[in-house]
Amino acid sequence: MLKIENLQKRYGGKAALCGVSVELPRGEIVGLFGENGAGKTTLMKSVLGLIPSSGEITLDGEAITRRNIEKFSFGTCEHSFIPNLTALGHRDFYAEVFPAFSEKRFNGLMDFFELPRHRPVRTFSAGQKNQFEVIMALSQGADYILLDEPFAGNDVFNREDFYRVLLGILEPRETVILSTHLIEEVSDFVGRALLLRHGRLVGDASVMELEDRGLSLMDYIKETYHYRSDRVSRALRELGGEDEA
Amino acid sequence: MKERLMKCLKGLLPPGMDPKLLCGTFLAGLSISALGSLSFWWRYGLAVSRLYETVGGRRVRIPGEMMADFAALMGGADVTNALVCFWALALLMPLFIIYHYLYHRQGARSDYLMRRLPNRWVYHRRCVVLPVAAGLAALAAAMLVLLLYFGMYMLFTPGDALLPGQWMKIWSVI
Repeated sequence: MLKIENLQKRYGGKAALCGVSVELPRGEIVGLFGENGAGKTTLMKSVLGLIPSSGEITLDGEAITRRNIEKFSFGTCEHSFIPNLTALGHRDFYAEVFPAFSEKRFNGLMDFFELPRHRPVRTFSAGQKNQFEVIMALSQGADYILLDEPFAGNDVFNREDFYRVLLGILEPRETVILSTHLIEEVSDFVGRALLLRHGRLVGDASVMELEDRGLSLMDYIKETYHYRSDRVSRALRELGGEDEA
Repeated sequence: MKERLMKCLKGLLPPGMDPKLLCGTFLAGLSISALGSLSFWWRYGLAVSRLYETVGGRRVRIPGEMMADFAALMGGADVTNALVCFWALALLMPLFIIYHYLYHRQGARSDYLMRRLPNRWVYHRRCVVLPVAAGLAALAAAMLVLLLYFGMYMLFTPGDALLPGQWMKIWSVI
């Protein structure tokens, strides 16, 4: 179980995370939603220790250190692969440094995405780079797979296919924490939704709970964010009024 | 053999980095340093010629004329020092450490990957070890050249032309 308690992070004077507390058991696909600057990336980087933060983050009761960091993998839209290394070079490097690296999954996903194995990753297209980033995160052998907007720039067919494959390959011990703006696209795949706003956790609901309440994921997000549905019509009315004036 | 060496070097460099850049720079620097150190022999030749004069078509020792100190022939504490290129090479190598760390931010944030490895030393080992080793090798090569030239200076210089305390003076070269 990944347990985050009272996580706080400030960038200069600005609070990026304000006392976020959440528990994430194994075996879930968790959607992490929020507008730009809500704190999604900061939350993930704090869990991984890539940025300093205060609060308590534990995995199965133990602080996250070098002893258990391999239980986490990270796929980010910033890309954490090594541009000059080929796909096979990545495979060899991961196999060397991550004992639980799954070559079988690596090969399966490489075949699925039809990515070249002998070319440096820097020569891949933008979409291929995103796919490769996700492949490495999924093949590392981690229990918690943190994906931060992994498919920004990918076409919709690739994304949908990927989600299907993801559902098919995940083992019961694996949890995926998926940060994305593509809410409707992932609504059929995530089992739980975490909503961040201005660095605070403002929503946490399982999709089953939402179904019981007769809400879709999008409805829940709009409700939690106090989305004003008349916003567009009002803006158009006001803009039209200006024109008339 | 060469393949094994390259594999070993690759294991001590950031992943995906071609060892040729560092090795090429180091070997080129070492060659230039070795060539630069030959300035000692030019100064040595001049100093030896000052020990002699030509009398009646014959080359004879000038009585009382002494050979310049080994340290003086190696050059002063400036660019005239025969080992200055070795020192420069040793100082250049730490810049590769900076370059290796920056490499992990070029085109992607592979530092995110390297910083979350179970073995924290892998990242630093791959950025630091080879430049430090190359810097130390440059210093060792300078010491070797110094001792080699000193031995040859003592061997080839007429014994009665040697000023005393050469061994003690050698350290002023460094």
